Amino acid sequence: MNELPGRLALQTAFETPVPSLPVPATLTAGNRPELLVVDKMARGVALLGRYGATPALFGLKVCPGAGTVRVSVQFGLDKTSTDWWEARAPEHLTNRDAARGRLFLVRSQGATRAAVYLVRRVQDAEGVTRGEARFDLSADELDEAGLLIVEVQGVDQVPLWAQQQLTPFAPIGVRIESVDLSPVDDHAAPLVHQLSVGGFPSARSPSLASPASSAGPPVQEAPGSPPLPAHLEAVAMRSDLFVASPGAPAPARWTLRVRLNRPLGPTPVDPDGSHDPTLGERLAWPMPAVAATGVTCPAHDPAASARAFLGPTDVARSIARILLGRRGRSNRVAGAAAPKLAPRSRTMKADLEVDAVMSLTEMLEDLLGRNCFRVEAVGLSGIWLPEPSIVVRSVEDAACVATPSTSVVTELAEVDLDLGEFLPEPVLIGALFDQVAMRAMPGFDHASLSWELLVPTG
Amino acid sequence: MLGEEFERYCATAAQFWPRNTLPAGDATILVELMTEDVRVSIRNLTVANAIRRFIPARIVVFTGVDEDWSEILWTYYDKPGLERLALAYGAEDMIDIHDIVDARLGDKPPKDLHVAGRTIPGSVQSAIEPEILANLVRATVARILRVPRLTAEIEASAKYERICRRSQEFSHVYDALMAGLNPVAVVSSHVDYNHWGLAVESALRFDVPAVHVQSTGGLKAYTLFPETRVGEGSFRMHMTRQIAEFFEQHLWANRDVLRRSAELTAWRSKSNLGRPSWWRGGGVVSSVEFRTPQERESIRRHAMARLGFDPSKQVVAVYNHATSDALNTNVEVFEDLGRWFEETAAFAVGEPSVNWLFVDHPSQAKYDLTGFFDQVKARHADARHLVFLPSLELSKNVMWSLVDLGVTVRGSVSNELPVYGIPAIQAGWSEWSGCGFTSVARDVDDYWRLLREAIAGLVVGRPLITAEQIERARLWLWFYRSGGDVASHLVQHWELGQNEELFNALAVAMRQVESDGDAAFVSTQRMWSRKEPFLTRFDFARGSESLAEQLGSVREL
Repeated sequence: MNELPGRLALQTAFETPVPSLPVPATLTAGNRPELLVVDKMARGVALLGRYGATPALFGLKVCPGAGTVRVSVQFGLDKTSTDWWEARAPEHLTNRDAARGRLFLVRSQGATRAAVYLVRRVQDAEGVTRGEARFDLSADELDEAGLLIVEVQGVDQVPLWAQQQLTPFAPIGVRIESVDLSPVDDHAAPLVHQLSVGGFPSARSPSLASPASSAGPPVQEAPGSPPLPAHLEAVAMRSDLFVASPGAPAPARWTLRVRLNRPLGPTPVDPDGSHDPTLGERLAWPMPAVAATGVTCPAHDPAASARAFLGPTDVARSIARILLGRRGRSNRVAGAAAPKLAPRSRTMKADLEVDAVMSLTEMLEDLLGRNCFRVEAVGLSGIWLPEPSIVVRSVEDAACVATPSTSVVTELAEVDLDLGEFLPEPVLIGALFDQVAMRAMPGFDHASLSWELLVPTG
Repeated sequence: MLGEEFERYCATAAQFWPRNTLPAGDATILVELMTEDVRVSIRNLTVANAIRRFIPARIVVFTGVDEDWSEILWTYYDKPGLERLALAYGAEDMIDIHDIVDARLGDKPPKDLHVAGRTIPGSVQSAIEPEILANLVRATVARILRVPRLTAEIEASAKYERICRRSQEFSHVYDALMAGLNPVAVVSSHVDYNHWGLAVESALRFDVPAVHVQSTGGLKAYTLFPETRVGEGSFRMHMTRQIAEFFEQHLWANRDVLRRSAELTAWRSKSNLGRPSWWRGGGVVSSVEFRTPQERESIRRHAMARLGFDPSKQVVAVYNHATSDALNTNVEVFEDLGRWFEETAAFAVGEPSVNWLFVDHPSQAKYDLTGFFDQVKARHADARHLVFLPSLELSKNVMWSLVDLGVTVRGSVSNELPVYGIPAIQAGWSEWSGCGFTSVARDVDDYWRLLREAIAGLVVGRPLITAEQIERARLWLWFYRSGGDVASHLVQHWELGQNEELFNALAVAMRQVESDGDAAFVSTQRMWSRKEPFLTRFDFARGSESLAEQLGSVREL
């Protein structure tokens, strides 16, 4: 016993020295002695471990050095996660569904650091949906005598607008893939607000993620997307929910890029095709959100788009109808101009019977005005109820895309979300549509919507 | 139901035991086989046969269940199977106590008993003291009904009346057996409730040594010899006194020799190895993995936040008992276990200088149908400094990170916490309550005094436990898991389970291992000749040097 008499006597003569993980380091296995405490969690070999309950935690011995340490914890969701949940979640739950999104808080050193949101897709690389939490610990929060604690906790109270999309007791079965520790020196980029959109896209391995990226690797640039400024990247959302966690002081403002994917005729679309998140999944005709290859038609020359599409006449007519239909409707969003049509498009118009349809921006505006499109947000520690303000913008220089294989035309708009000047706690945000109202919009037909989040790079 | 391997094992045992015991003489050993778990019966019969190596005696087993016990406890009691086992271990006769009691309840006057060739008058009337009988009846009714205490309504019920009458008959029958057979020992797996407890109670009055074999570990058994009884009290009260005496004489006195072993047990106990404790299961919920106060603090911050505790205050944990478990069979300073719990909760409301954690017993569902814990919880829903939790919601890591003072009546946690320097208060006696590592209340007033003083100490940061108490706690932990736990081929460890593996291992032991010096035989003979209160793995009386040799101590470099 090496403590003072009459005090805690946790030591025995048989304790073995436990090494501390130096910084920088990455821990990817659970059978390492530095992983001193696992609580309601199973140690892994190819993994760090897997949570068996909520709350659950692990404690790492770390030799942090002198300064701030950036902690990055990679989580994963796979088939076994579902099996574990089925075996361990309380029997009495009314919403007993392991297949919904997993939303949980990540706490460390006594404080909530982030929230993680995972939505499983079987197409994900190796069958594992991956996401991460990243946070900085200052020198006075982490020392070698204590432990680096990473605790996960399900979110007990979620608002009704999110409930149907979430699995309760969310951490049960979640994999802990790795913990990465790196020093934060003066040159390191500050950790901006992290966004968790349901999982990293399967197109890229998490290991390729930019070290400074807080939301995972960007999506592949979709054909037809206007180029993004260097400081932004597009991250595909897996549902109409995403989570933002506080980083360095920064305004809580993000841009959602909305894609309207219109079918160009009766050609059925392969519902199992590779596609990123789309509200269309819940519609009768699932549509791919992003065409993988195809013919790009600059928006300012819709007739060229129509000509370039060498499909049947009715398909060409559809493209033209969509592109020309927006002509003449005013874009009521401040600061954004309606796409300009080239003179030749008028010629096309004369040739085709074109019905007027609403542009995507107009649709969003209209739905917003009728409260059929709304953005909700709620603080996940239960102390903050933000009131998001929303601005809908059309996208200049956006392109329409049509491909022979999918017969889809994509139109873009952007929605700016503003939750205020700072983010006090992790927040769950939902971009929610009234599906019925949306489908009833003129020209929507069997279109679908998909979302990307534009997040700062680095 | 027990399977082919069981039959082969019984056949082996039937060959083994006659060659390893004395021929049966006039003396009788009464052996209880009223528990469905075959490991219990194997232990009872092994101890009985170990006695038969030095006392020529025959074994008479008593069996049976009634509808009450079948309803609450037993699901697979296999009387024919247990009788085959008893025969293989050399039992000469078997009687079904419940059948006898049933018959007596219908017969007037009761018929004589015919046991092992003797006729025992059925007219024997028990000389049990009415108050002792009444206590046993109360404890039995509470257990069977799974209620914390008896209400006037229960006492007026037909069920109560039936259990009363049956209990009286049990006592008559056991007294008749003691008088008629004059047994040299009664071996029982339990010492509480009517059908077990009244046998032990009769044994005490007839000056028959009573052996209480434990359902845990290797082979553990406590024995109360008439020669060593001092003063009044139940079997458990006597054991508490005798254990305390043995502890001082043989454990504390040999602490230097035992220190290394006790340290190893304390280390193993962190991860529940050698578990005969209330820590349920294994794996991810039953380990204390942190080693220093700083590491504990890291986990504690999270644990405190989970429960909404004030992090600036210390935590007192109150461990609810299985509320109907063997009420008043040892000294309890409150009327019953439930009263202790609810009055402590009411007391806690007025003591907001600390956080209070009330933890339910992990097996409460088997002991309470009234929702007692939740009722107490609901009563104090407004008190933010009181948190009530089912046991299984807390891992050992989290609990050990939180608790600064443990409070119990007789729970084993009052041994485990002091092992790691966390003080404990007991509102009653337990096996170890005389060993000096807990604060044991003399009465209700003393209990409140102890609590108040401890809380005041916690608030100002005054240590509530001494280094000596920690060492004593570790010595008892060691004794419970090692010194008082005999490792014998002839029983195998409890954790092996009751299955083919066990039966095969026992058959191998009987077929392949020469029986000389088997620890079950040596320890039983030593306990009997020295009138020691329990089986021991070592001969403590030979002194420190011999003890070190027997321990096979790791030498210091």
